[in-house]
Amino acid sequence: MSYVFMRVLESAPRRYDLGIRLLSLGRISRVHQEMAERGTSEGSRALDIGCGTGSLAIACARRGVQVTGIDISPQMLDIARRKVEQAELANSITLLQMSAIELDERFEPQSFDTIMSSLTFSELSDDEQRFVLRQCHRLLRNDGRLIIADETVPPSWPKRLLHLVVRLPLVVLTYVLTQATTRAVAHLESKIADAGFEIEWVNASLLGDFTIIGAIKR
Amino acid sequence: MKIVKLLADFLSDILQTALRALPFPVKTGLRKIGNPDRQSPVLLTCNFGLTVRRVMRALKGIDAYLLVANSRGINVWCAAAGGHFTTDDVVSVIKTSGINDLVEHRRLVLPQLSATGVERAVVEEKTGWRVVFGPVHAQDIPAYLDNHYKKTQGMRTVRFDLPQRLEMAIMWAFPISVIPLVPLLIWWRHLVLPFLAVVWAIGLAIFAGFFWIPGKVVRADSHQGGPGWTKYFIVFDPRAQKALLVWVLLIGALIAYGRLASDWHWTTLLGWGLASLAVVLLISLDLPRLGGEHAPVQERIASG
Repeated sequence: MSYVFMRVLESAPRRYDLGIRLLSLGRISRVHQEMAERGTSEGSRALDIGCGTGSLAIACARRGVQVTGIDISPQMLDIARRKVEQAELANSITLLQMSAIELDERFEPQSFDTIMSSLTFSELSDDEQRFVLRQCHRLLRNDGRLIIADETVPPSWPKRLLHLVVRLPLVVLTYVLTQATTRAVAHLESKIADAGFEIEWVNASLLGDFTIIGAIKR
Repeated sequence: MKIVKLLADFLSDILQTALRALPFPVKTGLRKIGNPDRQSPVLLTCNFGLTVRRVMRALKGIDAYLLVANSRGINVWCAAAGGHFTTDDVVSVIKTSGINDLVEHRRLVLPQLSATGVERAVVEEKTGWRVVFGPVHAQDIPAYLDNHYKKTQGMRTVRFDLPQRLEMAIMWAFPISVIPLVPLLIWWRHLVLPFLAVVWAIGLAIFAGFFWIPGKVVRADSHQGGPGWTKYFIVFDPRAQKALLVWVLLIGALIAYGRLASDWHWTTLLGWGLASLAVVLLISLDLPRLGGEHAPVQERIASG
């Protein structure tokens, strides 16, 4: 639920990390740890799409992974750079300011062993999600891993209804504060499969409103 | 089904006109209008619901493709000026909508008022499409296309005609009159009608009489405001005192009515004076300045 508040936090990048940790009750750090452990191995190359303040990229780099993080927000990347320097991981992490829609221009095919994205797909339109997934397929080596964690539309209507009831006040409050909101991703699993991936594992919250999906390029 | 859609569109138009200050995002991507072929024109607009419906109505009878780009549900002018409708959004919808496979030409018509937020050269470099800026108003698009993509002076000019000014009046008066309704209905029910009358009278008078009320129009390049806290209210800008003038006239009318035609106590008059001043200040609140932005004032007055 609290991911709606991301918009408030994104409007003030300096408070983003603290805020997102508080709002997710510490869960976001565990999510990043899980993504790093299940998706990367020492010496591999990873791409973090929408890296924000760099938490996921740092979690991966600490495991000996060479990470490229991209984000459209220069303010977020400024904070990410400071965090990377403080963690003394500047040699392991490359940060690029670019949109996910530029993936087709900036990287060669099969450039990465793993591609990850945390709380970014919910900011893309349906067309953009499909485009980015196609690019992920192009950029991964064969048998490479794709791991996406995001706010998702619950699969059944009772859960959707409950989700709506809980989410609506947060959406309104967030909108009042930031004039923006997030949009939970619908049918994420099938979109990933449509792009040519084989779904390996799915870890969804009880309500189905937050999901981590691991997939392999076949 | 067609009647249901017409009714839904009509109700959406009313709601989104009344709450025009809020974004109403609709699905981005490609829309076909009529039966377009590989030579059909390709136009682009923002994803503010009211705008998309108006553009589609304006294009009725024309075979064309319409790309709806992500402007966060805000109208073209406000979104482009406020950094919500950008070069990246245009590039994104071109690359992800599949339009490249549907037409043989590479000419894309953008709304003229998007020019403040979209860098034409960058879009052209990244996509291979040639960008032209079309008319200001959607209803001029058919004539623009008939005229071989050439704009007349009228198509280039932002008009702030009476219908548009009334839309602005509704946009201001509706939320301001609705929000205090709850406490008024609970505690001061007898004040509901006078309150609504004051809010709508001020809103309509300011916008309907925009060009007739004395007072200068704020220049588009104005970044200056008054001293201290007054800079947060457009009404105190020395070049934009129409709202203040309307308020003074209204207060004069209220005093005249209260003393001559009715038996109002001076405290009642004072109460109405303060309440209506609050309304005027609300209407003239310079939100972008309050938020630290300094966009041109005239654009905000004209476009909302």
